[in-house]
Amino acid sequence: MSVVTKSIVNADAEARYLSPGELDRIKSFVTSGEKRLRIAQVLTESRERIVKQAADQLFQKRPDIVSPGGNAYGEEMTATCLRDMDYYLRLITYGIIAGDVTPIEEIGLVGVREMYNSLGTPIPAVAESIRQMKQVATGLLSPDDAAEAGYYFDFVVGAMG
Amino acid sequence: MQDAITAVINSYDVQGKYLDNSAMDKLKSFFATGELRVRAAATIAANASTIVKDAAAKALLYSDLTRPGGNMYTTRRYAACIRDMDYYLRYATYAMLAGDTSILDERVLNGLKETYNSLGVPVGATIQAIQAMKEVTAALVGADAGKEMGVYFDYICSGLS
Repeated sequence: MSVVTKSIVNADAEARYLSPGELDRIKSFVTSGEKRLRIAQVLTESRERIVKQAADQLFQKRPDIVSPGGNAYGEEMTATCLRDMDYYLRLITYGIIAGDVTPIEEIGLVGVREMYNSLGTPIPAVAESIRQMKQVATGLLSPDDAAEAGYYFDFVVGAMG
Repeated sequence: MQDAITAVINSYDVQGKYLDNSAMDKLKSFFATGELRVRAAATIAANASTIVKDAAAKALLYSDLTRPGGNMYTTRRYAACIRDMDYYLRYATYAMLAGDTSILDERVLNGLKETYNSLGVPVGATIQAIQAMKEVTAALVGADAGKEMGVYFDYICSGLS
């Protein structure tokens, strides 16, 4: 869902047209479209770097997870960890574009605890990886764009915390 | 339902892909027409009953439909007819704002033709009324927005025929 779909669904539930307030919100959303696309483009182009640098930071902070017995120990498991980080980065770009966290929630957060618990993956470490990706990603953006993007990273961290 | 933005996101997520240039271009053109859409939606909302009234006068009132035996004869049927026109206008407006036809499939067209057939509502006259609303709306909102609204009025018509 985006702010557009959300407003339409709400209006339809009451069989009415969108209110001036709802239309204003959509207007400010579409006028910020260029900025959203710009942010998503930077994150998309730099995805490998963001994931790699964030993973390096994560493994420095949490050496236990890449040590024997750790959930990201071994080449295959480390690759899986990096893949999941890349998934979340991708979902974050979707959220930024939609101007709404619903795509992130629906695709990657509903049931996330149950999933990682059943995999034996320490959720605090996953949250930390998102925090590290935010660090790297916001460093590539202007302060204004970084603030916008940061909101979506924080949302994911919050949902895992 | 989805909108132009979530439609792109959903189709890329299924493939696990970041948004590429062709996705970005689609989103860009939606954002670029956003203000036009919002403005048109506000104008239509403020003039909805006039649009329905004018379109009904244009397409329906001076025909056999309103004479005894016609499908708009009796005030109850007349009221049902303009209520339906009102629905189509509102849903076409939602779809135009969203830049996507899915809401029409899900909330208007699903089972509509069968319902009309079982009620004996003449589909041809319904289509004429929707086409009349298309003309009246275009005259009100201007050529660009009128053309965009036309896409969704036509979509309803093709779903009915």
